[in-house]
Amino acid sequence: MIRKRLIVLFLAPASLIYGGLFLVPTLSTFYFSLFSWSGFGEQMTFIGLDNYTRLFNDTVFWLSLRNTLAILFVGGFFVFGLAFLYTVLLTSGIWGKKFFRLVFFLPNVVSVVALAGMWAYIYNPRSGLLNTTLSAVGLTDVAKTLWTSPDNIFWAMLAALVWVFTGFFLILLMAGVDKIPTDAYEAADLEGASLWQKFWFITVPMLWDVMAISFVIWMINAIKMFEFPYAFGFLQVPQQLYTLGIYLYIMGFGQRDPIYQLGYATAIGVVMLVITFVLIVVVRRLLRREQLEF
Amino acid sequence: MQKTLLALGLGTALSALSFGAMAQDGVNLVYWSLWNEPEPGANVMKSLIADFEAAHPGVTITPVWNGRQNQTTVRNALAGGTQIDIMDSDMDGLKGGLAAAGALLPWDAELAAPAPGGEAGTFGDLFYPHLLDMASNDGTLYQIPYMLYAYNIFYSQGALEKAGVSALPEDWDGFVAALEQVKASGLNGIAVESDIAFYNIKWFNYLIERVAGPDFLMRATEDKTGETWRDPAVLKAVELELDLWARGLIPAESRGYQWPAGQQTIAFDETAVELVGSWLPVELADTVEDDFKWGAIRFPSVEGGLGDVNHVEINSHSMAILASSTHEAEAREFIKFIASTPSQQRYATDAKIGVANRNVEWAPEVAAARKSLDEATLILSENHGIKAKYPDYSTNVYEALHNQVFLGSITPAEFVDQMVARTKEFWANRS
Repeated sequence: MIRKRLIVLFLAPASLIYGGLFLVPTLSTFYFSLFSWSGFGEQMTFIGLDNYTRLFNDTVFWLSLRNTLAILFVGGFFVFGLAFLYTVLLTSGIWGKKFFRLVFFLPNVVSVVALAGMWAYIYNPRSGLLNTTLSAVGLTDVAKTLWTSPDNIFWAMLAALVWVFTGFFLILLMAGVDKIPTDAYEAADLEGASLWQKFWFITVPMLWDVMAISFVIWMINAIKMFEFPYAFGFLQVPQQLYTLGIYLYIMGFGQRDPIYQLGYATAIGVVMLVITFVLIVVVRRLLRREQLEF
Repeated sequence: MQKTLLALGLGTALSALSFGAMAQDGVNLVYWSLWNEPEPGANVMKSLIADFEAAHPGVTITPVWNGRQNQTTVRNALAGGTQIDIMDSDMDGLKGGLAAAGALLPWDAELAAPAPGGEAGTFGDLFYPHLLDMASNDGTLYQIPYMLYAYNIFYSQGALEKAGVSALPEDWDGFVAALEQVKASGLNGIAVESDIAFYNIKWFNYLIERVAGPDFLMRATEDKTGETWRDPAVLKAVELELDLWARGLIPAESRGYQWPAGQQTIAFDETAVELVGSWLPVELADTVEDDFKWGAIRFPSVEGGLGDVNHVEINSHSMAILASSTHEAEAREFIKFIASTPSQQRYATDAKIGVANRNVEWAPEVAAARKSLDEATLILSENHGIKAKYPDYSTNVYEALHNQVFLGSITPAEFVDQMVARTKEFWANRS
């Protein structure tokens, strides 16, 4: 009994802080989404679910949702595809594993604004690294591509985003691979297994839990994606780069324009929360497997 | 001029003596600023703050350099209970934001008071005609404009000379012909930044004004059916701006330029002109050669149109006092000091920025912009008032769709159809 009370006593401060800093604001967000409120002062008008009705009829909201889902699924496909590829290559016994791991992770320790600025120079139509290199290797037609034109800017941003995030998930996956007993691979080598067979029949099953948590982290990051596309848009974020997070910011805080519709912005926030929650439940169920102990 | 400024400076010092009684106990004014600390505008502000503090013993000013999204930062800080006395922001932004929310103190009673520093006339007389009306919310003034930018066509005199163009005409056909001459000389005609919709929209703002008059844009926005966008004037304005691309006067690769890639081509003597605010010479001051000469013309007239070459669109930065300020008298004194002629002259001379005080001579780089304001018969606010009155429409519908048609992602007919549909959607969602 005393032990239980002690546990409660020790958990209480953390629970109070978590509740005060996360649960209460989350519930408040839903409450504020039922109001027309600029965010200035305390004048709020109760409008029920009108903000949500408006979302369904808002072209920019659907555009932002489409972009967010493109980041989640298309971006996720390439982030994990590359992360798995590099995991296989880096754990195949090649020289300089730690060096390459560092190189791939490096974008994660650099400021997002600096990274976005760097990519702006890479994509510059006249003197950018990409088109200059393409020209140098003879691909002159491809080198004429305007990577940051309205038709291409989202995909150009997504390519840069994949480059940023691949290193982070590579580190997670490699940490999981490092925990797999080496004798499993040694036995496979003795049986003459190929690189692909070792990956598919040893690495993937034994990495399942790490993969599941990595997918969940990616989903959360993708749905609340804000910083990189915002910095990539720089002075005025083009609508082609709007994500739900950016649209929430534009509607709630206006950038330089006095939009200030905080009630509407919180409705976008609630939708983001619901999408995140639903997707996490679905993915956790899809990836549920029996615990594998080794 | 120097004698006048000296007299005004002495006047300011005398008025400071009479103010001394207000601040005997020591007052600290907290000023949240739209300037970024390394900017020339911030440097001038720092020196003005030092002068004000020296002239007003007992008053100190603590600046916080937040940059252009200052109003958003201030709003969040106010919600958290932070004490702020003075802030500044874009005029239209303040009008639709803190002023509309009743979070600022009014200035109307001060306008008839004598101008600061012993200058002739009233405080209100210092400003460009109609500027204070534009800054007002339903007839009440909550902000004091102090920086003023005119949207003009800025050009490199050297580039025009190289092309053999002696002067840019202020009629559309002549303007286009002159740019053709520039293009024939091997230079690019017009610089454009693809990602800055609020730069590119100026082409349409001016063209629709020149074709259909200054009230068209607001009329089209406020038509809840959206059908006003089907007026032939819209297609004409769009086609005129797209003609610049079709003629190759705007290089095709500009569709991929992200700021400041476009404007830098002017500094590198590769492009002749850009339609932009009068901050451009300041932004490029470190990039252009020492002998680089700027010029500017008003946006050209369109033959047979209802608009006028003397209608000039502007942008302004204003200072305001928060209603929650506990040092109203000192805050007013400081803002009057900033708006006074000597202070504004320092901004114009040292930072080379245009100012709201009409008694001030602007730097040579922006002298043409000042002339366009002097001759203006009508001053238009950002997006002809839409930005302040309907900011979400301005950003999410008007500027965004225009950028698509301007950069060739949709056709003029699609632009018209989408403007009609999105205007209807906007009003349906507001009801």
